[in-house]
Amino acid sequence: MWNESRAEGIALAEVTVALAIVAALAVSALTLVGTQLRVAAIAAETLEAAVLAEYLIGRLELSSTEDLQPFGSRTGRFGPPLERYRYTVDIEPIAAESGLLQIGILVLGPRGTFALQTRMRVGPGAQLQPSIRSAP
Amino acid sequence: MSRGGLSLAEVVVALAIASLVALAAHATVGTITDLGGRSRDYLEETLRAVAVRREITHWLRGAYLYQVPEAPFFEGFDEGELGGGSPASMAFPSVSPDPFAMHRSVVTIGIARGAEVPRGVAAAVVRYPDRAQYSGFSSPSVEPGPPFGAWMLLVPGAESLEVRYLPPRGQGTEWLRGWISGVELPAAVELRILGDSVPDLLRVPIVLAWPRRGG
Repeated sequence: MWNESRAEGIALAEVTVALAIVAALAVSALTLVGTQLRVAAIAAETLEAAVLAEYLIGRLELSSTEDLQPFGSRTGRFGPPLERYRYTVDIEPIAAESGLLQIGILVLGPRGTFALQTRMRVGPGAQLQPSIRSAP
Repeated sequence: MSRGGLSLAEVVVALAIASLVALAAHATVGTITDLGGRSRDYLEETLRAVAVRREITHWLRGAYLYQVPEAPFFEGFDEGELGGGSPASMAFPSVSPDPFAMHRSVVTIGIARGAEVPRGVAAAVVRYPDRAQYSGFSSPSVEPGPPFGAWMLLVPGAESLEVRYLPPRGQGTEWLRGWISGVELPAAVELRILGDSVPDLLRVPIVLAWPRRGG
């Protein structure tokens, strides 16, 4: 049997509430998808940053002690097509070990970053050899 | 009793609004799907590029010279070193883990020119004893070489390779365009993959320095 109020259809307030619920669900779904896209982009850029950090390590392995002087921090930017990445390289000698250097590399991208710590032995007659490598 | 239903005009207006909302939703979903596809493609391309770099580095890091008669040499040439238009390529024995689980293989990396192997950077890994089946420098476009079935395409669409070799310490500091030796590896190698369709990450040179060692 029809109830009088039911027969008059859905009230504006009810429609508004229903729409608000649907809109909230839609916004949540879109936020979720957006987050997924951002995470994928960050993952890809972190991988690129990691490759660039390894490339810098490869370059440093070819350097002589003189090339690396003066020790300390240096910054730069990669060339095209990866000019959106910047890097910081910190080189410090380890006092207790002659010829051993502590190398810290940080590659910064628009969304992804990668840090690498390694130690290298340099010096006359010694082929450069990374001894410890870690990626925090 | 009159029921409070919608008039025709109200239904038409409601349908028009619903249509607009549906169109907007469709466009939004389309854009999101498109962005999702591009994001997935970008991630896949990056992962593939990282895998190719790791594989090449892995093979090179395992380069090993047996220093016995008949053992394969390290043979590397930059583009044009073997005559006009010859592609850059290198072949070397490697002890890196291989599909034959023998840790004794000969790796050849070169440019395929599209005859049998699609155009791009290709590599062949053959068992060390199989090296006796052919001789001389090899690449997909220069015979003799590994059988065509041994080639795998690493970077489709790559047009050329640039490879330079740094001599061992005490033998000069200039990068060389070729390296042939059965007793000594170069100190380092730098490999560049060129081509308009090459992913950004593979345009970054692959640089590898070998630690001094015996063998």
